[in-house]
Amino acid sequence: MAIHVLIVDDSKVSRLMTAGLLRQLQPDAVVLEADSGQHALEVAQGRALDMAILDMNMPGMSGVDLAERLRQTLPDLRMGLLTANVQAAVVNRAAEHGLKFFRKPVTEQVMRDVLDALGARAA
Amino acid sequence: MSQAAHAVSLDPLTLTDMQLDALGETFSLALGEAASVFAAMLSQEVELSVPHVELLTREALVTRFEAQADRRLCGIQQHFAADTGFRTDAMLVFPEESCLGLVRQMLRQEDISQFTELEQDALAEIGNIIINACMSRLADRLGTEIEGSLPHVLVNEPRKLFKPAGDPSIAAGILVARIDMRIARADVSGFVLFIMDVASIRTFVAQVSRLFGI
Repeated sequence: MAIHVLIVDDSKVSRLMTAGLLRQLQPDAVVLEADSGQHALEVAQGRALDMAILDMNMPGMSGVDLAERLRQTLPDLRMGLLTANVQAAVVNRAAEHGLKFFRKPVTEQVMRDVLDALGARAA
Repeated sequence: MSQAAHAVSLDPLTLTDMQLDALGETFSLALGEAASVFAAMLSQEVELSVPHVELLTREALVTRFEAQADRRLCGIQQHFAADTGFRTDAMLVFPEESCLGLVRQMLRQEDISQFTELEQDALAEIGNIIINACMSRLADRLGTEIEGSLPHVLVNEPRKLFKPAGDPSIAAGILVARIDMRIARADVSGFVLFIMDVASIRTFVAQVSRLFGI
């Protein structure tokens, strides 16, 4: 059964690269995109999502705050932060909120790590 | 070992050779981290020069660029504020043509000749990744957390690119941490600037000096 993945990043290029690698490793994945936390909440509404890959620094709402909001309506959603902000303080904050942490730039190996950690095996 | 400039004075601030050397060592690690993510982004090796740290006025920086060549520059800028009290505008700077080469490499498209929205977005993301790698390493080294704004891309002549921001005190000094990052296939060479007011430079230098016991 195809996995449904939400990619949230204010950078279009970053979303393109992340989605491209995801489709390469999971050809039947259903990929949804959002360019902000608020947009992500709208996209996620009423959908059965399996995974969410969230940027940390976005206008309006951070990735961690977004994760908390998504968890209220999708308690089983598996989520990870994919960010360039790799400070120890941010890594620790992600762990405190039960989020996996992945560092940009996204490469094929990083995407394999994302899929492994969030429970989807790469093809 | 870093290479530091001598006799740096920006009235009313003077940095000793030891302080400059400590800054050079600190930025060497941070910029090395930045180059490493840069290489991962482009899937190729990035050659690094020896880091060079100096303190300049904004006018001196502009004059230096104008003397090198009458060319436009591309800057990707983010504002940062550390819990330990210093603020800086960090700017990753490339010659405009290098920037186009970089975007061609990143997007794997050879026919890019101008900055449209997608190319600007790609540059913002390149800057975001490289600058944040650098600032994250600095934050961890100094035992602080540094909050950053979103990246902002500017393409302009040096005088307009480095014009003072809204806060006039920020015009006071530019801590230039320069490391040339060269990629043969893309013919790209860039470096990083940290624009700080005198109070922030003092705070930052004091924290780096404590790390090195000087």
